[in-house]
Amino acid sequence: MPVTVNFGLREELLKVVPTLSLCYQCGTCSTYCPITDESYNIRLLIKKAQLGVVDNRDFKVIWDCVTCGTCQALCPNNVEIVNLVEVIRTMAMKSKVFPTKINEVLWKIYENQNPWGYTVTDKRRFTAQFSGLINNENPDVVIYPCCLSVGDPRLQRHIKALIKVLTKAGLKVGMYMGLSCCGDIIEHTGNKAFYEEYTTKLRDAIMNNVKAPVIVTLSPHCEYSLRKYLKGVKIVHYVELIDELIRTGKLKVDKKADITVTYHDPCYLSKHQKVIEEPRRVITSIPGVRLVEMEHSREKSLCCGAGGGGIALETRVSTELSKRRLKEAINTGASVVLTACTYCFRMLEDANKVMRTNLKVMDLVEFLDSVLGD
Amino acid sequence: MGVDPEVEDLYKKARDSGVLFIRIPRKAELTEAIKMDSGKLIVKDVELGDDVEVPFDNVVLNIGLTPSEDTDETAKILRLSKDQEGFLMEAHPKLGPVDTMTPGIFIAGAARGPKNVGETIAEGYAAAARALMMLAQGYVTKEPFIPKFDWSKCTKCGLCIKACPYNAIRGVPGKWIEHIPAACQGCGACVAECPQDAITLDALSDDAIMAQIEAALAEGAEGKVVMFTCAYCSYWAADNAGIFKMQYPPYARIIRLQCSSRLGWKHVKRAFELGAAGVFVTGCRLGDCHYITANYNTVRRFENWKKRLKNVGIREERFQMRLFGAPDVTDLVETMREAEKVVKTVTKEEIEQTKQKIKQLR
Repeated sequence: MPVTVNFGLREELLKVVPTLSLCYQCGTCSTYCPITDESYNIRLLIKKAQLGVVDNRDFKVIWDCVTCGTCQALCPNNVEIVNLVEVIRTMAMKSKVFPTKINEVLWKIYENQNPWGYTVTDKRRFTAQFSGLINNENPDVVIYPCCLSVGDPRLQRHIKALIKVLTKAGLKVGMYMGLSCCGDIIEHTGNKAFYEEYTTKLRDAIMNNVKAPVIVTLSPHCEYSLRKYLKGVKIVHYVELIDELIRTGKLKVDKKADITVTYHDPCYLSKHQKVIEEPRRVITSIPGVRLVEMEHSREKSLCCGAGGGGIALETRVSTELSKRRLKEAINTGASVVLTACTYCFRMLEDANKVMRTNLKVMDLVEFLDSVLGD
Repeated sequence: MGVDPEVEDLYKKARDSGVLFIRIPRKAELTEAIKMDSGKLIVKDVELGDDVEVPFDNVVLNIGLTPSEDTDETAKILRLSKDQEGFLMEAHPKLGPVDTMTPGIFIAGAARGPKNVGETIAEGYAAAARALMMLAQGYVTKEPFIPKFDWSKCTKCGLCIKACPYNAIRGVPGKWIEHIPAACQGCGACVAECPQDAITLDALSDDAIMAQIEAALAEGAEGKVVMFTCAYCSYWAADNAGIFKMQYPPYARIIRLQCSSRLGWKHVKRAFELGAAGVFVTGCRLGDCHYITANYNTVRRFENWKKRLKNVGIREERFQMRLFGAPDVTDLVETMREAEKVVKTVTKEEIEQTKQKIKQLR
């Protein structure tokens, strides 16, 4: 079907994503895209955006994207592809072509400040667990817990481990008790107006409550989105902080462990923020631990399927991806697969339960804590 | 879509400033890939895999570059070779990109083909540097292939002027003739052309060639074919045949000349006098000659000699010409097989007859 170039829409898109015009259609993006098939072709989508002919058919498939950013990290022209996907999702929202589950998720965020439906009672239980462990009077660092951990005891263990490790390094640890979602899912599902409204409120809440100069996030998604709207405070992912502590000698890893592990790169850590070497340095600093790489690792690593709202929408694509990733982990022969992201942990753990493997999925800080002991 | 590496930065700048590029099929005719409708162009887009309609106010065409009108005349005066589009041709696209076949003449820029400003400037520098190399030296080094003129024998007929591919001999026929050694490249076309034997070469003189023919045919001449080769194409083809380990029958005796145009009537005559089964002339393909147009002389003379030999009853098969390039080893092997055929078919009586009759010819 012949299409007519729409210069108006083209100009509009170029204003939001100026790098769009740089694309010369080499096809690197769709080669490395984990979900490339006949319906979803990111290269073709960029071409259509260049011509300004994005239509309803594209709006349907755009929700499959997990915004892992492999395309963006490998693009020779540095086209902001994830940005473009979000812009097209916004257009799809305006044309009312979107999965119905998004409405549900957004309403949950509106009511409870998290997309999982955890209520005030869950939050109270969470707060009660940690009130004895933290020092919110004059903390050196403040942990920003992922909202997913509010109702998930596995993730709460990770936070406890993180507090223990940081305390061992001689830091006074506080925690942000607002327990609200960072806005990552709202942003990637394309509702720009709600995103603006929500993040403005959240920014004020965080700036008023957090007194420490450093915010440590449990999830790279939180780091990525907090960095966008929070200015004047340092935001790091815990892997970066622990790597720095080990290198400066504040945290000593003197216990031994005889184990083979593999590391799953969270997309928002490795591709969006280029934190690739730090987690590997942390793992290899533990004596006796052997690190083996999966078939896809570093910038080319495969997504667990949770990104871009995939964890909340639970699309077919995202569950398929987590199984594929777990198979790669099994093929390495490692007994533990490590990761540094709450979403990745959750997706891999769920896939692990479905597939009934002997593999153990662990968070990096939990693993570090188990090695260090008490 | 990719572009020539030289204009990559311009391409990026154009994309950066928001130019929309549409790639049409590589092999499609332009008129087929782009059609004009009222107020819009219909373009076949390879990347989209579909037709794209582009509404427009103005269409600006970029038309191809053709050689300037004077190129023909310049090429004629300076005796430069041209490519099939009519642009002047370089000596070698990699080893001599600004040189011409004639030393001392350099080309740069759009004379050589469509070029942008950057490339033209770079080529201009290169050509100037090449010219400076010659000027700074103050003299020209030549191989010992420069002919000597015996002006007492010369009748000013002017045939050598026409034969020379480099304009190294000039003058007015019947009045005066002048030889310019610096321009001469030593192909020997004039030596073979001169009817008075007034021109001689020091290296590879007539005596030397005669001695080679005599040595080649000293024993069992009736079983041998004398093959004259030029040093740049057919001799290299014989070399390559050795490198490629090609098998060929051993009847031909190769005599290397600087250029096939060096070959004179007396060499051919001498070979037949000594009882050779045949004489083969090989050279470069027309247009590929190392000495620009020298082998046109060879072809012209060959036709002439063939008629002469036919008149005294020598079969056409015994006197042949083959033109091929250095990589065409198969052509050389085929020529060698032809030589075998000639040797096998020629009878002793025929050779004796030839020996007698060839003496009648001048």
